Amino acid sequence: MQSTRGFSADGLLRKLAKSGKGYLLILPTFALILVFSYYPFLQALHKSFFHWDGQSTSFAGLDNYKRMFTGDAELGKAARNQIVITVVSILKIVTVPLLVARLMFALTSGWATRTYRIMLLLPMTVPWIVMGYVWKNMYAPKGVFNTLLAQLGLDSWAHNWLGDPSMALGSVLFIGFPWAGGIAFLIYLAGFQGIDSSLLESARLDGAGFWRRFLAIELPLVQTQTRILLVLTVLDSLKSYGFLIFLTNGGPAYATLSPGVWIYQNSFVFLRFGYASAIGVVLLLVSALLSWLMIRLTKRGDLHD
Amino acid sequence: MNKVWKSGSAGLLLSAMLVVSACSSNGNEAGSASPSASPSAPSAGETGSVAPSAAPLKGKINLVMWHQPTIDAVNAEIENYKKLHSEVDIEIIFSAFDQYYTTIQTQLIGGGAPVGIGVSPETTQMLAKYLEPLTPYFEEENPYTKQPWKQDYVANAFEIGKSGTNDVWMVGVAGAVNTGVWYNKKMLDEAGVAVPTTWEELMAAQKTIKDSGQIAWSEQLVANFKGDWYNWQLNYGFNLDDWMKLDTLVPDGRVSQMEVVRGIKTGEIDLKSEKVKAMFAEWKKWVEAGWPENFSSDWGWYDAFVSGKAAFFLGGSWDTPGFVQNIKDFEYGHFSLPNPGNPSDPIDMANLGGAWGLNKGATPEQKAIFIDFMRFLSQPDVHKRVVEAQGMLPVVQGVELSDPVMNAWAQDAKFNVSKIQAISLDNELASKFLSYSQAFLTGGDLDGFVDKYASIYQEAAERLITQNKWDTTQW
Repeated sequence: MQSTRGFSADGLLRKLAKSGKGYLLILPTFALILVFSYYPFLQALHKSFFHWDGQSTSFAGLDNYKRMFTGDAELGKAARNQIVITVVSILKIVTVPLLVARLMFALTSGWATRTYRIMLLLPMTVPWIVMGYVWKNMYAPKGVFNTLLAQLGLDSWAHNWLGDPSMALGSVLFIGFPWAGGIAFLIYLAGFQGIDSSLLESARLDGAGFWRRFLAIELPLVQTQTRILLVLTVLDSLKSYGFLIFLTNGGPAYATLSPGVWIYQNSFVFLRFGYASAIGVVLLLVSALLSWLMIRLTKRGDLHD
Repeated sequence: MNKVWKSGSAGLLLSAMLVVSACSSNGNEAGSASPSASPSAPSAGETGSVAPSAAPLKGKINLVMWHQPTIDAVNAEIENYKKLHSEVDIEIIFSAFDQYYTTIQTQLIGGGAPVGIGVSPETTQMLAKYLEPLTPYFEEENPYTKQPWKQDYVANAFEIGKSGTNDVWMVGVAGAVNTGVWYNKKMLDEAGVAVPTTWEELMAAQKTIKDSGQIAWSEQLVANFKGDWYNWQLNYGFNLDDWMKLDTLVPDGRVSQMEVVRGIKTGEIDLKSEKVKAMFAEWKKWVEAGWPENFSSDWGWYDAFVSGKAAFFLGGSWDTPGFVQNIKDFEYGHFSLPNPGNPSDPIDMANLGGAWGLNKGATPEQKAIFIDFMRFLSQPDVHKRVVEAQGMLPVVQGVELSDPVMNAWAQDAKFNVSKIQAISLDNELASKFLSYSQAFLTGGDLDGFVDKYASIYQEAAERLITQNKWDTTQW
């Protein structure tokens, strides 16, 4: 087993000869990935060692990296916000969509299943900028939330939802409530539908109740889906800065600042392209590390392995 | 493949953006025309009092501005100008104020920025390295008014265009009084308070109104951030430099950027002084006193003032046309915001309400058209039409406004050069200042904020020293 995993030049050549056409066909795709993905990354890595404001460039050595860890209090705040954003995003993704998918799995009427599925998946087709715009308006001083509260006589509960530092991050994370639909729901539903019905039937005959079946059989069997979702969610939460820029631009008082937003601001607002590149490089490493960690943690109990 | 894309993450996204940025050509290096190359001499006269140019101008320029009323007003004059210069085309581009300077800065770096850049005195320093100093042009004769171009302008309004430096960076298109407080006479009468004339009276008045269950201030909730309004207050109400320059030597009666930087660098200006702390403490007191107990959807923007629900509105002369048109049910008026630091010196922030700078990267032909068109706009009759169309104040000499209210504002507008901020924070430091002030005003401690404030201005001073290559050894 070990020998097959070890590197062997002969083995590689034999494989290439054997599947030559396959490698040839994939070559253009790989070349494009190299040009459009890896090359820009290497460029960013290169730029991270320079002070670059778009016009003049000077060698910075490790200054940009040093600044990240010693001289940028805002980045520290952004990192703390990012932890909150990531944890809440994970919680959102592994709770409601999982339960809704399980409930959907239990539906026996084909018509009802189709209707619910469409209703839950339809919001996925709405572009994020439209959704952001709608929620921004709902949070506005004269938006739906405050108007509703006023009509209910709860004026004192009204807030400047995105403008108050103590409320802003919570308000942003609340967006999309009740977080039932979307890709997470779809992946979980596919997972449930892939469970061998005989397993569940056997458990039922053995006297296992709903929760027992759910916790002991179904949940472990959708662990692969959970792992995929965890990795996707962590990566998405680290990458998605556009939504925050649109809603709050990281404010007020850095309450919604994330490393992604800070990269954007440093590059395109403060014109510190070199420093922004350095943060981008570190963010990439963090993303890779977290992805690996997620896979390792969830792999341990995966019944499929 | 999916894995490859995913693993690229934000770093790759950024990298792609950086490459795109790097690939953009930098047009700023192209064709820097000297003022003497500007062919703005007149040609045979056809229209009214206007003296047309001798060397025919040819080509197209574009001007960018965030203020729609300015655009509308200037567009009308472009048509008149084109009657004199049939081979010239001028296009005005609107760019929303939100992210305006970020957008323009990116365009300037990329070489795709318009020829004329809408600027303000406070923010010009940020763009100065991309703008052409206009000082020599102003020394030349304006062919339309037959006098040195500089003399067309109200002297102080012209000085404000220097933005604390020795060069003129912008051509004023209109002026405005930025620190006007509008009041609802009916509400003041009902609360039993007189129109405030001092800072103490203003604070007492807003407390009385608030205690009576009324709304004191109609808030300016831009983009939902309370901080926007706070900073508006700080910049135009408290006027940072009023405090900063107290201990500063100011040559020839105006704020000098270099002198202020020197003062900060040498410690002559103590950014953590008791005066500064008192200023910020007073600022917070004002905000807390003016801010209603509970958030209400009734007091957003100036709607609350116009609908008669709020007693005060901190705005400016440009509000006049809107108020005249929309307020019918109560008597209202305005006064200049008292100065909390110096009762005998009311805050007077008459400023350039609209101005254009010249993109250094424009071609000589484009620069010539820009200068000529700006000189065309400097004629009193043209200027009067432009400012009146947008409810602004004149910055050109000899312009009498038709509307008595606006004319009263014009009399109040002193264009006090010493009130212009000597140091305009760049995007990064302005963003920091905004964020830390938001934190301070929503619960942060004073000393912590003053430390941040001091470090921001020290950093700004250092940047200016580097940028201008000032020799600090003699300081």
